[in-house]
This record gives sequence, structure tokens and C-alpha cells, in this order.
Amino acid sequence: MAFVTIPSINTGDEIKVENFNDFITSVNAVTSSINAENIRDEGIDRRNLATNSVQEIRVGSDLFKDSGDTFQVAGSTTSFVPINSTTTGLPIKVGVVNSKDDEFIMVNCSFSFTANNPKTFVETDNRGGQEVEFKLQYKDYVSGVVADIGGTKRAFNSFMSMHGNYHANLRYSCTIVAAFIPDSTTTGLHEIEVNLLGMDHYSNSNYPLGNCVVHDVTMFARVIKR
Amino acid sequence: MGFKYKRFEVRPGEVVEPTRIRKNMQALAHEINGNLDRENLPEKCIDTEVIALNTFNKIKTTHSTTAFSMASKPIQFIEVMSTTIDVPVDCAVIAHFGAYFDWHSNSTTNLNAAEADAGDNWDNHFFEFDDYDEIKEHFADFRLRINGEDVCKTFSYPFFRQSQSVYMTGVLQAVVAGQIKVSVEAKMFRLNGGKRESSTLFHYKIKDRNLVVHAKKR
Repeated sequence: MAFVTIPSINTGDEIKVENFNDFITSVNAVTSSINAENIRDEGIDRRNLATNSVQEIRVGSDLFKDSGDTFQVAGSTTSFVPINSTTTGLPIKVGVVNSKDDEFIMVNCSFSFTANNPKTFVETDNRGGQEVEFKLQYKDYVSGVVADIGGTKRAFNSFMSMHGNYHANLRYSCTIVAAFIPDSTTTGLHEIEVNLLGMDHYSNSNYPLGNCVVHDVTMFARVIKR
Repeated sequence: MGFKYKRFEVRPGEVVEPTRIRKNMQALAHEINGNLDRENLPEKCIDTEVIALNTFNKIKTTHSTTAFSMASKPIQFIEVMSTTIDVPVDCAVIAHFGAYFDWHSNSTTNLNAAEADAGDNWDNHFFEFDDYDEIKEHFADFRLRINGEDVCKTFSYPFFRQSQSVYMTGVLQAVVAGQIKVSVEAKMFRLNGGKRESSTLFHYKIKDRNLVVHAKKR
């Protein structure tokens, strides 16, 4: 804490140059040692805070909102793949988000999807209906780390059979919210991209399906710094 | 800080009264020694680097990929996961929980013939509504609690979908400083003609799940 010392000068005292110099010295020291104790409780408000000093949300690359587009879950029945636009081919993702060590990145992702039964297999094939899985994964362009965001896998399927014929269709909405701190880097800086990945197949089968369509997607990421 | 003025001005040729000098110094010292406020600081002068971590927000996350089985559990809510967070000031607590879970048939249960068919079929990845009248409905419920208060409850998820996902969020405002517990609870039951009872044919397992707790202090 910066502390300004007031010289003891009373009526009748001789005022010496040291009285002023000591005072000036303590005032000059303020700039290098001022801290929270110099500030009155509840003394500052948002006007004093720099823009984006507490958290940072950029409406550009940090916000993904489809404009009526649809996205296809296709490509693999055994591993997660990006979910790409059926018109532009671009995946569902946010970023690059810039952050530093110890700063949280919070991601909110909501979407709907449909997986219609193509009437290829009936129930007696010992397969369930469509099974669709999603998860969030981040990539740090500084460290090169690609990692799943823990606990974000979500799955949907159906065993319901329509009177000895075909399995029921899937129509659902899903929301995934996660917060994470990327692995530390040598520079302490991060450039984070977050992807929504998906996998689509028959339950109890790796037979390719690829007819799950994702739509009405909103995804955004923000850096919570302090 | 209010409007500050120079209390005593010293003019040329004037005999200086020492206490006046001291009072001038006191005016400045009083502000710096613990009474600076927003008026002393320029707009937008405080950036991230000079703000201590967790000053405005404190976040705690926990997740698991280990299956949590609801087999042989009572039909009342039981705790699935929880976390505590220490916050030294009153705050608003926002919690998010997400998970997926899937239904399984119980291989050891004693069932009548129709129910056994249902269980066998389930193990073969299909379920026909012909069995519905025998086995009745089985439900999964979830709730999210902050300091013992419910902030979110789901509807009862039927077993019709073998795998399903759940998301809950809620906020409790003006949580007093101290240790705050956020918990997620689940229950399972069979609805048999309006009567709630234990499910002997099915149980569900809660798989990937994550809990995010966000204490917003300012």
C-alpha cells in the first residue's frame, strides 16, 4: 500500500526543508506502490474498468449463429467428425478466441437435430434406431493441443420399434455448456477454437447412416478473465 | 473523493502558519491513504493485468465419464454429483449441468413372460409397444440444487429413448458469503397405474456429465 507521511508540524515549530522533502518523497512513491488498500471500499465502478478487462465477448468470430442453414453429421461411424454446413461446407465452431493462462473460456452451445429413419433396416436386424452423439472439442493454435472438453459428450438414440417394422425417428434439441482452462503454454497465451463434433450410426452397428441433420445452432464463447 | 480545493494559499511575504501547511498535506494524504475512489481514477484506466484473479467471477467445474448406475436405488432423489465453492462475499451463483444417460434392462430381475420379452428385446436393441402394457412406464428425473434449494427440475424422461441427454441451469441470487454447495440429484421410478414404485425391469446409467458453477460477485 502506498502511504503518504505527513510531517509533524505544530504551531510555533520551525518549518524545515526536510518537512517538505519527506512529504514529497512519500507522495512520489505513491505511483509505484499504490494498490487496493488505497482505494475506498466499493470506491470504483465500471467506468474505471477498461473495456473487456473482466470478460471478453466478441460478436464476430466468438458467436456462431446459423441463418437457416443445415449441417450434416457424416463421415465416420466410429469417430467424431466436424459437423459441416450442407451449403458452405463450413463446420460448427467458434473462435479463434484469445486468452491467457488461468483464464476460463465458457462455451454455450444449443442446437436441434433430426435423424430420420431411411427404412433400410427393420428391427429384426438386431440393430437399434439411429444413434447420434455430440461433444465439444477445443484446439489451441499456440500449443497445438487438441482435446475434448471433459464431460460434454451427449448421446441420443431410440430402440422403439413401430410394430415390427422400423425404428422411430429422432428429433431432439440439445444444449451443452462448459467452462475450461486450456493447458498452459510457454508464452502464457492461447488461441482457442471450439468445435461441435458429431457421430452418427445405427445403435449396435457401425453401418453408415449419415442422415442426421443439425439446425437452429447457436454457439458462443467468452473469456472470463477475472 | 469530492471536489478538492487548496485549503490554504500562501502568498509572497506572508508569515506561514505551520498548521496550515500541515492541513494542506493532510488533504492529499487523506485521499491517498485509503480513500481513493472512482473520481480519482480516469475512465477505463484499470485493465485486466491489475485485477486479481477471481475478483469479479469465480468458476469451478467438475466432470466425470465414469458411469453412475441408478440400479437398485430408491425412488427418491439421490445425489449424483456435487461440488463446493468458497466465496468470500455475497454473490449470485449460476449453475449448469449436462449429461447423457442410457437405459438398460436388468438381467437378474424376476419377470413374467411378457416383461421378459421386453427385457430380451431391449438387449437386442429394440422395443415393441406390444410390451408396453405389461412393463408400464419408467422415468428418470433430475434436479439441480444450490445450497439445498431447487433451481431447476427436468420433466420426467421416459424410457422410450434408450439414450437421452439432459441439461439444467439455474441461478440463486444473493447467496451469502461462505461455502456454497451445488448438487445434482436423480431418481428413477416406475409408474404403475398412477402408483410410483421401484423399477425392476430397467435402470439407467448416467454417463458423461459436467457441472459448471459460476459465482458472480460483481
